[in-house]
Amino acid sequence: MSLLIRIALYVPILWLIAIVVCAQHHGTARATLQEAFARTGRWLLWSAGLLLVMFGLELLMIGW
Amino acid sequence: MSTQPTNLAARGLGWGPFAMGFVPGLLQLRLGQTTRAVVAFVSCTLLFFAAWPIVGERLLYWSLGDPLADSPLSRALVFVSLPELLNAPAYLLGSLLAFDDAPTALRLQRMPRDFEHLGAWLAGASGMLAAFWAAAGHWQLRLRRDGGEAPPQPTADPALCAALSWLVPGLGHARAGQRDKGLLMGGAVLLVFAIGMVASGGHGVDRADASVWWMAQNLFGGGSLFAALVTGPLERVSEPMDLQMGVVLTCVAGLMNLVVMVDAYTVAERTAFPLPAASTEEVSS
Repeated sequence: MSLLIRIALYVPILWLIAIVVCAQHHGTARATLQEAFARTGRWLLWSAGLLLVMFGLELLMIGW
Repeated sequence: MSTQPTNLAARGLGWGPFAMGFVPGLLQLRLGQTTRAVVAFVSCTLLFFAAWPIVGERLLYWSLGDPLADSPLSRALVFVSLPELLNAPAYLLGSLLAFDDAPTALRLQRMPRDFEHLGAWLAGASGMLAAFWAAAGHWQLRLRRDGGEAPPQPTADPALCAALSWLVPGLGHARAGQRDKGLLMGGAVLLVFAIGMVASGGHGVDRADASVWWMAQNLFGGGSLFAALVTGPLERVSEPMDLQMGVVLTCVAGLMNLVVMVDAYTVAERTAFPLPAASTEEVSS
Protein backbone atom coordinates (compact mmCIF):
# COMPACT_ATOMS: atom_id res chain seq x y z
CA MET A 1 0.00 0.00 0.00
CA SER A 2 2.78 2.38 0.98
CA LEU A 3 4.67 1.63 -2.25
CA LEU A 4 1.52 2.24 -4.32
CA ILE A 5 0.98 5.63 -2.65
CA ARG A 6 4.60 6.58 -3.29
CA ILE A 7 4.39 5.63 -6.96
CA ALA A 8 1.11 7.54 -7.37
CA LEU A 9 2.63 10.66 -5.82
CA TYR A 10 5.94 10.51 -7.69
CA VAL A 11 4.87 12.22 -10.93
CA PRO A 12 2.86 15.12 -9.41
CA ILE A 13 5.64 15.82 -6.89
CA LEU A 14 8.21 15.79 -9.68
CA TRP A 15 6.07 18.28 -11.62
CA LEU A 16 5.76 20.59 -8.58
CA ILE A 17 9.54 20.53 -8.10
CA ALA A 18 10.00 21.24 -11.83
CA ILE A 19 7.76 24.30 -11.49
CA VAL A 20 10.03 25.81 -8.84
CA VAL A 21 13.19 24.92 -10.76
CA CYS A 22 11.91 26.29 -14.10
CA ALA A 23 10.42 29.45 -12.59
CA GLN A 24 13.93 30.75 -11.95
CA HIS A 25 14.43 31.14 -15.71
CA HIS A 26 11.10 32.80 -16.55
CA GLY A 27 9.19 35.90 -15.56
CA THR A 28 5.65 34.59 -16.02
CA ALA A 29 3.63 31.63 -14.78
CA ARG A 30 2.60 30.61 -18.31
CA ALA A 31 6.17 30.23 -19.57
CA THR A 32 7.13 28.44 -16.36
CA LEU A 33 4.32 25.90 -16.74
CA GLN A 34 5.20 25.15 -20.35
CA GLU A 35 8.80 24.37 -19.47
CA ALA A 36 7.82 22.47 -16.30
CA PHE A 37 5.79 19.93 -18.31
CA ALA A 38 8.68 19.29 -20.69
CA ARG A 39 11.19 19.04 -17.85
CA THR A 40 9.00 16.61 -15.88
CA GLY A 41 8.95 14.40 -18.98
CA ARG A 42 12.74 14.49 -19.20
CA TRP A 43 13.09 13.75 -15.47
CA LEU A 44 10.73 10.79 -15.83
CA LEU A 45 12.97 9.37 -18.54
CA TRP A 46 15.97 9.81 -16.29
CA SER A 47 14.04 8.15 -13.44
CA ALA A 48 13.22 5.18 -15.66
CA GLY A 49 16.88 4.93 -16.67
CA LEU A 50 17.98 5.07 -13.05
CA LEU A 51 15.47 2.36 -12.17
CA LEU A 52 16.79 0.14 -14.94
CA VAL A 53 20.40 0.65 -13.81
CA MET A 54 19.46 -0.19 -10.22
CA PHE A 55 17.54 -3.25 -11.37
CA GLY A 56 20.54 -4.31 -13.44
CA LEU A 57 22.89 -3.88 -10.47
CA GLU A 58 20.51 -5.90 -8.33
CA LEU A 59 20.49 -8.72 -10.87
CA LEU A 60 24.26 -8.57 -11.11
CA MET A 61 24.94 -8.64 -7.40
CA ILE A 62 22.02 -10.60 -5.95
CA GLY A 63 20.79 -12.56 -8.92
CA TRP A 64 17.25 -13.29 -10.13
CA MET B 1 38.59 41.80 -27.88
CA SER B 2 35.55 40.45 -26.07
CA THR B 3 32.99 43.03 -25.03
CA GLN B 4 30.61 40.46 -23.58
CA PRO B 5 28.20 42.13 -21.13
CA THR B 6 29.10 41.45 -17.53
CA ASN B 7 26.67 40.36 -14.86
CA LEU B 8 27.67 42.51 -11.90
CA ALA B 9 25.70 40.32 -9.46
CA ALA B 10 28.01 37.43 -10.31
CA ARG B 11 30.92 39.39 -8.82
CA GLY B 12 30.76 38.55 -5.14
CA LEU B 13 31.57 40.91 -2.32
CA GLY B 14 34.33 38.71 -0.92
CA TRP B 15 34.84 36.60 2.18
CA GLY B 16 34.96 39.59 4.56
CA PRO B 17 31.33 40.66 4.14
CA PHE B 18 30.31 36.99 4.09
CA ALA B 19 31.90 36.37 7.50
CA MET B 20 30.52 39.65 8.86
CA GLY B 21 27.03 38.41 8.04
CA PHE B 22 27.22 35.95 10.92
CA VAL B 23 27.18 38.83 13.44
CA PRO B 24 23.83 40.65 13.14
CA GLY B 25 24.32 44.37 12.56
CA LEU B 26 28.03 44.23 11.73
CA LEU B 27 27.45 44.87 8.01
CA GLN B 28 25.15 47.78 8.85
CA LEU B 29 27.83 49.14 11.18
CA ARG B 30 30.36 48.95 8.33
CA LEU B 31 27.90 50.84 6.15
CA GLY B 32 27.63 53.56 8.80
CA GLN B 33 23.99 52.71 9.60
CA THR B 34 24.32 52.72 13.38
CA THR B 35 20.61 52.64 14.23
CA ARG B 36 19.93 49.76 11.85
CA ALA B 37 22.96 47.94 13.26
CA VAL B 38 21.61 48.24 16.81
CA VAL B 39 18.11 47.16 15.71
CA ALA B 40 19.55 44.14 13.85
CA PHE B 41 21.67 43.00 16.78
CA VAL B 42 18.99 43.57 19.41
CA SER B 43 16.17 41.93 17.40
CA CYS B 44 18.19 38.75 16.73
CA THR B 45 19.52 38.53 20.28
CA LEU B 46 16.11 39.14 21.86
CA LEU B 47 14.49 36.49 19.66
CA PHE B 48 17.14 33.94 20.59
CA PHE B 49 16.94 34.64 24.31
CA ALA B 50 13.12 34.62 24.17
CA ALA B 51 13.50 30.97 23.13
CA TRP B 52 16.31 30.20 25.56
CA PRO B 53 14.20 29.85 28.77
CA ILE B 54 12.08 27.25 26.93
CA VAL B 55 14.70 25.17 25.14
CA GLY B 56 17.94 25.88 27.03
CA GLU B 57 20.54 23.13 26.73
CA ARG B 58 18.19 21.05 24.59
CA LEU B 59 19.46 23.08 21.63
CA LEU B 60 22.72 21.11 21.97
CA TYR B 61 20.76 17.87 21.59
CA TRP B 62 19.39 19.18 18.28
CA SER B 63 22.85 20.09 16.96
CA LEU B 64 24.82 18.15 14.34
CA GLY B 65 27.37 16.74 16.81
CA ASP B 66 27.59 14.37 19.72
CA PRO B 67 29.53 15.39 22.87
CA LEU B 68 30.35 11.73 23.63
CA ALA B 69 31.60 10.85 20.13
CA ASP B 70 35.13 9.54 19.61
CA SER B 71 35.78 11.79 16.64
CA PRO B 72 36.91 15.36 17.48
CA LEU B 73 34.90 16.63 14.49
CA SER B 74 31.69 15.17 15.82
CA ARG B 75 32.39 16.69 19.25
CA ALA B 76 33.06 20.09 17.68
CA LEU B 77 29.81 19.88 15.73
CA VAL B 78 27.93 20.07 19.04
CA PHE B 79 28.31 23.82 18.56
CA VAL B 80 26.75 23.68 15.09
CA SER B 81 22.99 23.94 14.99
CA LEU B 82 21.27 25.44 11.99
CA PRO B 83 19.85 27.98 11.50
CA GLU B 84 20.80 29.30 14.96
CA LEU B 85 24.48 29.43 14.01
CA LEU B 86 23.66 32.23 11.56
CA ASN B 87 23.03 34.33 14.68
CA ALA B 88 26.50 33.40 15.89
CA PRO B 89 27.07 35.63 18.97
CA ALA B 90 23.84 34.72 20.77
CA TYR B 91 23.96 31.06 19.77
CA LEU B 92 27.59 30.51 20.73
CA LEU B 93 27.05 32.30 24.05
CA GLY B 94 24.02 30.12 24.75
CA SER B 95 25.88 26.94 23.75
CA LEU B 96 28.87 27.73 25.94
CA LEU B 97 26.60 28.52 28.90
CA ALA B 98 24.71 25.25 28.44
CA PHE B 99 27.60 22.95 27.50
CA ASP B 100 28.04 20.13 29.95
CA ASP B 101 29.05 16.62 28.93
CA ALA B 102 28.34 15.04 32.32
CA PRO B 103 25.88 12.10 32.12
CA THR B 104 23.25 13.95 34.17
CA ALA B 105 23.42 16.95 31.83
CA LEU B 106 23.15 14.71 28.78
CA ARG B 107 20.04 13.10 30.25
CA LEU B 108 18.57 16.58 30.78
CA GLN B 109 19.22 17.43 27.11
CA ARG B 110 17.17 14.41 26.06
CA MET B 111 14.15 15.30 28.19
CA PRO B 112 11.24 16.94 26.35
CA ARG B 113 10.21 20.40 27.58
CA ASP B 114 6.90 22.21 27.74
CA PHE B 115 6.36 24.38 24.65
CA GLU B 116 9.63 23.13 23.16
CA HIS B 117 8.21 23.17 19.61
CA LEU B 118 7.55 26.89 19.88
CA GLY B 119 10.91 27.49 21.56
CA ALA B 120 12.69 25.57 18.79
CA TRP B 121 10.96 27.64 16.13
CA LEU B 122 11.80 30.93 17.88
CA ALA B 123 15.47 29.95 18.21
CA GLY B 124 15.53 28.98 14.53
CA ALA B 125 13.76 32.22 13.58
CA SER B 126 16.55 34.20 15.29
CA GLY B 127 19.04 32.56 12.92
CA MET B 128 16.85 33.20 9.88
CA LEU B 129 16.33 36.83 10.93
CA ALA B 130 20.12 37.23 11.20
CA ALA B 131 20.44 35.81 7.67
CA PHE B 132 17.91 38.34 6.33
CA TRP B 133 19.72 41.21 8.07
CA ALA B 134 22.94 39.95 6.44
CA ALA B 135 21.18 39.84 3.06
CA ALA B 136 20.02 43.43 3.60
CA GLY B 137 23.59 44.47 4.41
CA HIS B 138 24.91 42.72 1.29
CA TRP B 139 22.32 44.48 -0.83
CA GLN B 140 23.36 47.89 0.54
CA LEU B 141 27.03 47.07 -0.13
CA ARG B 142 26.14 46.04 -3.67
CA LEU B 143 24.24 49.31 -4.20
CA ARG B 144 27.30 51.27 -3.08
CA ARG B 145 29.64 49.26 -5.29
CA ASP B 146 27.61 49.15 -8.49
CA GLY B 147 25.03 51.94 -8.11
CA GLY B 148 27.25 54.94 -8.74
CA GLU B 149 26.33 58.38 -7.48
CA ALA B 150 22.58 57.92 -7.95
CA PRO B 151 21.91 54.29 -6.97
CA PRO B 152 18.86 52.75 -8.71
CA GLN B 153 15.95 51.85 -6.45
CA PRO B 154 14.40 48.38 -6.67
CA THR B 155 10.61 47.98 -6.54
CA ALA B 156 11.08 46.29 -3.17
CA ASP B 157 13.98 45.54 -0.84
CA PRO B 158 15.43 42.18 -2.00
CA ALA B 159 16.13 41.00 1.56
CA LEU B 160 12.56 41.82 2.57
CA CYS B 161 11.27 39.84 -0.43
CA ALA B 162 13.32 36.83 0.67
CA ALA B 163 12.06 37.16 4.24
CA LEU B 164 8.44 37.38 3.09
CA SER B 165 8.94 34.25 0.99
CA TRP B 166 10.32 32.45 4.01
CA LEU B 167 7.04 32.99 5.86
CA VAL B 168 4.65 32.73 2.90
CA PRO B 169 6.17 31.19 -0.25
CA GLY B 170 5.56 33.44 -3.24
CA LEU B 171 4.76 36.58 -1.22
CA GLY B 172 8.21 37.97 -1.98
CA HIS B 173 7.59 37.62 -5.72
CA ALA B 174 4.26 39.41 -5.37
CA ARG B 175 6.03 42.24 -3.51
CA ALA B 176 8.68 42.41 -6.25
CA GLY B 177 6.07 42.59 -9.01
CA GLN B 178 5.73 38.98 -10.24
CA ARG B 179 2.41 38.05 -8.65
CA ASP B 180 1.39 35.16 -10.93
CA LYS B 181 4.80 33.52 -10.79
CA GLY B 182 4.83 33.92 -7.00
CA LEU B 183 1.41 32.30 -6.78
CA LEU B 184 2.60 29.35 -8.88
CA MET B 185 5.86 28.83 -6.98
CA GLY B 186 4.21 29.35 -3.59
CA GLY B 187 1.40 26.96 -4.49
CA ALA B 188 3.92 24.28 -5.48
CA VAL B 189 5.79 24.58 -2.16
CA LEU B 190 2.58 24.61 -0.12
CA LEU B 191 1.21 21.56 -1.92
CA VAL B 192 4.34 19.47 -1.40
CA PHE B 193 4.43 20.53 2.26
CA ALA B 194 0.73 19.72 2.72
CA ILE B 195 1.08 16.27 1.13
CA GLY B 196 4.00 15.59 3.47
CA MET B 197 2.03 16.70 6.50
CA VAL B 198 -0.98 14.56 5.56
CA ALA B 199 1.21 11.51 4.87
CA SER B 200 2.93 11.86 8.23
CA GLY B 201 -0.27 12.51 10.15
CA GLY B 202 1.05 15.96 11.05
CA HIS B 203 4.18 14.59 12.72
CA GLY B 204 6.63 14.95 9.85
CA VAL B 205 7.89 18.31 11.08
CA ASP B 206 9.11 17.83 14.63
CA ARG B 207 12.52 19.06 15.74
CA ALA B 208 12.45 16.86 18.82
CA ASP B 209 12.16 13.73 16.65
CA ALA B 210 14.07 14.57 13.48
CA SER B 211 16.27 17.58 14.17
CA VAL B 212 18.51 17.25 11.09
CA TRP B 213 15.51 17.03 8.74
CA TRP B 214 14.01 20.00 10.55
CA MET B 215 16.95 22.18 9.47
CA ALA B 216 15.71 21.89 5.88
CA GLN B 217 12.00 21.88 6.77
CA ASN B 218 12.49 25.20 8.58
CA LEU B 219 13.47 26.83 5.29
CA PHE B 220 9.70 27.16 4.91
CA GLY B 221 9.18 29.25 8.05
CA GLY B 222 5.40 29.51 7.78
CA GLY B 223 5.09 25.74 7.54
CA SER B 224 7.42 25.03 10.43
CA LEU B 225 5.58 27.64 12.53
CA PHE B 226 2.27 25.90 11.77
CA ALA B 227 3.83 22.60 12.80
CA ALA B 228 5.27 24.13 15.97
CA LEU B 229 1.95 25.63 17.04
CA VAL B 230 -0.61 23.11 15.79
CA THR B 231 0.64 19.65 14.90
CA GLY B 232 3.90 19.35 16.88
CA PRO B 233 2.34 19.37 20.37
CA LEU B 234 -0.35 16.83 19.36
CA GLU B 235 -0.13 13.34 20.80
CA ARG B 236 0.30 10.47 18.39
CA VAL B 237 -2.86 8.45 18.72
CA SER B 238 -2.63 6.42 15.53
CA GLU B 239 -0.04 5.20 13.06
CA PRO B 240 0.50 7.78 10.27
CA MET B 241 -0.04 6.80 6.63
CA ASP B 242 3.68 7.04 5.81
CA LEU B 243 5.85 8.91 8.32
CA GLN B 244 9.11 8.56 6.37
CA MET B 245 7.61 9.90 3.17
CA GLY B 246 6.04 12.77 5.11
CA VAL B 247 9.38 13.76 6.64
CA VAL B 248 11.11 13.63 3.25
CA LEU B 249 8.38 15.59 1.43
CA THR B 250 8.24 18.37 4.02
CA CYS B 251 12.04 18.52 3.79
CA VAL B 252 11.80 18.78 -0.01
CA ALA B 253 9.23 21.58 0.41
CA GLY B 254 11.72 23.46 2.61
CA LEU B 255 14.48 23.08 0.03
CA MET B 256 12.09 24.19 -2.72
CA ASN B 257 11.34 27.28 -0.66
CA LEU B 258 15.06 28.05 -0.44
CA VAL B 259 14.98 28.32 -4.25
CA VAL B 260 11.86 30.50 -3.99
CA MET B 261 13.57 32.82 -1.48
CA VAL B 262 16.71 33.20 -3.59
CA ASP B 263 14.61 33.81 -6.70
CA ALA B 264 12.50 36.46 -4.91
CA TYR B 265 15.72 38.23 -3.92
CA THR B 266 16.98 38.04 -7.52
CA VAL B 267 13.71 39.28 -9.03
CA ALA B 268 13.75 42.35 -6.75
CA GLU B 269 17.47 42.85 -7.40
CA ARG B 270 16.96 42.86 -11.17
CA THR B 271 14.42 45.67 -10.96
CA ALA B 272 17.39 47.83 -9.95
CA PHE B 273 20.16 46.07 -11.86
CA PRO B 274 18.62 44.41 -14.93
CA LEU B 275 20.69 41.79 -16.70
CA PRO B 276 22.38 43.27 -19.73
CA ALA B 277 20.90 42.02 -23.00
CA ALA B 278 23.43 39.94 -24.92
CA SER B 279 22.92 41.27 -28.43
CA THR B 280 25.10 40.44 -31.42
CA GLU B 281 26.48 43.97 -31.42
CA GLU B 282 27.61 43.67 -27.82
CA VAL B 283 29.24 40.25 -28.19
CA SER B 284 32.11 40.30 -30.60
CA SER B 285 35.41 38.58 -30.70
